[in-house]
Amino acid sequence: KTAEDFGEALKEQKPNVVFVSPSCPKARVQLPALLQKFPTVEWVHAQSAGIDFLVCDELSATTPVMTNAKGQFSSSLAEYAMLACSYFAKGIPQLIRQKGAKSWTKFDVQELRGQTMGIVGYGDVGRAVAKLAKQYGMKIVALRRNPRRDTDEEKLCDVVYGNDKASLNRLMSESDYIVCSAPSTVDTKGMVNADAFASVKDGAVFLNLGRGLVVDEEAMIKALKSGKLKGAALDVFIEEPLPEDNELWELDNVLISPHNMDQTSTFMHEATEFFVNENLPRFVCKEELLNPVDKVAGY
Amino acid sequence: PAEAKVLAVGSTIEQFDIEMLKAANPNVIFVSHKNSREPLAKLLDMFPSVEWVHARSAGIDFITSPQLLSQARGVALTNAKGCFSSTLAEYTLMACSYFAKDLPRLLKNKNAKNWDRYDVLELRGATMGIIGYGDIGRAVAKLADAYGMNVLALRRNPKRSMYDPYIKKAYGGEDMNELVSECDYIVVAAPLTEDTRGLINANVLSHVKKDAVLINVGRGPIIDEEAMIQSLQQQNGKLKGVALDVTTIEPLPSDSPLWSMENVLLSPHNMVKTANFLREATEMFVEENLPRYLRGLDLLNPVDKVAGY
Repeated sequence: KTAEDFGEALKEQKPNVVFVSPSCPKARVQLPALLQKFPTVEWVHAQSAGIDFLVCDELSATTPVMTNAKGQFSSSLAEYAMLACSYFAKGIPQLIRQKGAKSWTKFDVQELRGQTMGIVGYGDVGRAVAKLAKQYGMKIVALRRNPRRDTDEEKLCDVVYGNDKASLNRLMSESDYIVCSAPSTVDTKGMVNADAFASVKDGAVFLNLGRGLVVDEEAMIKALKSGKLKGAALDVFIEEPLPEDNELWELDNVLISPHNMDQTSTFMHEATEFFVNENLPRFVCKEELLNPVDKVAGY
Repeated sequence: PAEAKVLAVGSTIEQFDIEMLKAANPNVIFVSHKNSREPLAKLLDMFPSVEWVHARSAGIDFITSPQLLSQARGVALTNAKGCFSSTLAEYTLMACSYFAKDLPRLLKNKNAKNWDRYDVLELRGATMGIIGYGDIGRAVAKLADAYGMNVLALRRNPKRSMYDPYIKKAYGGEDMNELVSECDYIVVAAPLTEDTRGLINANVLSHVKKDAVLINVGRGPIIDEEAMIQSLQQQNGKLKGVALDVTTIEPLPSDSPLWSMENVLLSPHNMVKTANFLREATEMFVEENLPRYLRGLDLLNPVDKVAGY
């Protein structure tokens, strides 16, 4: 758990790889300490998609390459995203209220087909969501740092914007469903702010399955209470576990999940398999590693 | 179309001017009202000139009568199948995910402000069985396939699905127990006919996989509701949850146990009820079938009166 747990004797074996899991407490402090203790380390692999739990100046100063487990969690999150959109489109909050009152009252429902989904942060998770949303006949608008980066071979997005403020507000104004799947970095902190929420379409729904810090939570709560946002589905929060006194618990139009929408019984196993069966052999054969991350950029 | 003329609109027989209509010789009846069975039968009796009845819905179980089904009379019957499939497919996949991600648990936890992390299931790799493979069944299969589910179908003519890219295997009616034993999610998308009434009974339910989810977007009476409730409630019952957009009696009576059962997602037969659905289904009649009728062409969506769908 700490750099101290690894004895000096280990140095003789010249360890060159470190595997770090987000379950390690204070990993942000321990990892640079460990790397300093064992300068033979060339490669650090993170057992998650997000590396925000590790990023810091000390880490940026270290030399080993870093890879992560992006792509391992995307499928389950894409399913959650469509569930969350349908949750509001088919009026589940109203269904539940009616069930409690034993009231059989017909009301109109919406289709996702033909609606617009705006994806903020178009990485593996964003792409997996786009792919599934496209199968529903939704129109996709995406926001990413490098809009011209042509990795979108499948041409899932109808439009792609850069991540400047005007573009974000434009995406918010065009989307019926906004999916936030951006990583938490210095640049994205608080990115989805009051201005962004002020730009939303009437009846828009906001989903966050990336990182809580990307969103200005206060501004989002205001938008939910005022009805500007029809609802929100949140799997991530600024503070986790979500404190009991956080207003989100009490809002009817919010679907809360405890950062578990990618937590399948096999996900850790599959992510570890990825390390063992994909990257470890590549490292040993001196081939290029999969999923390199930029420690400074934070993703 | 210019050559067509609406002679009368009504929801009960009293609202129709019979004398006027007799003189005008109506040849088409467009049916939309849920209490149409009797008035329609009476109209067919009174106006032998009627050759064609079009139902604004997919199901025709609520409008059948000896007069409508009479082979001797030979009234053509068409319906609006296909107009509702997309939105029902969306509902069906949502219902599957509702249980895969354990929304009943999430909602309970929210009320208790309980941050309780648990494992969720993926639809990807799970098996879905669709009972009744018409337009709705096909639309569900297509979307389920997009999720990476293994899709099986049960239909009267399994050979018709031989080259269907969305189905792994098609079963005939006699293989129901085998089908359900393989499914994590069972979707009833069949029409209500003599053959399908009570089809999903206690025996079938005893063969389902443990923790299977049952979804009904067809007609309530296809499922033996008592048996289903027992399967949900009993210790040795296999069902994890059910999602019902249709029930045997609608509106669902307030004394039905379904109202207070946690693992039941209830909707008031409104999962097709988009703001546009009536207009789109009617458009199908006005812009597709009416012109065909006027030109003596084959009508779309003929209903097999013998089969009942």
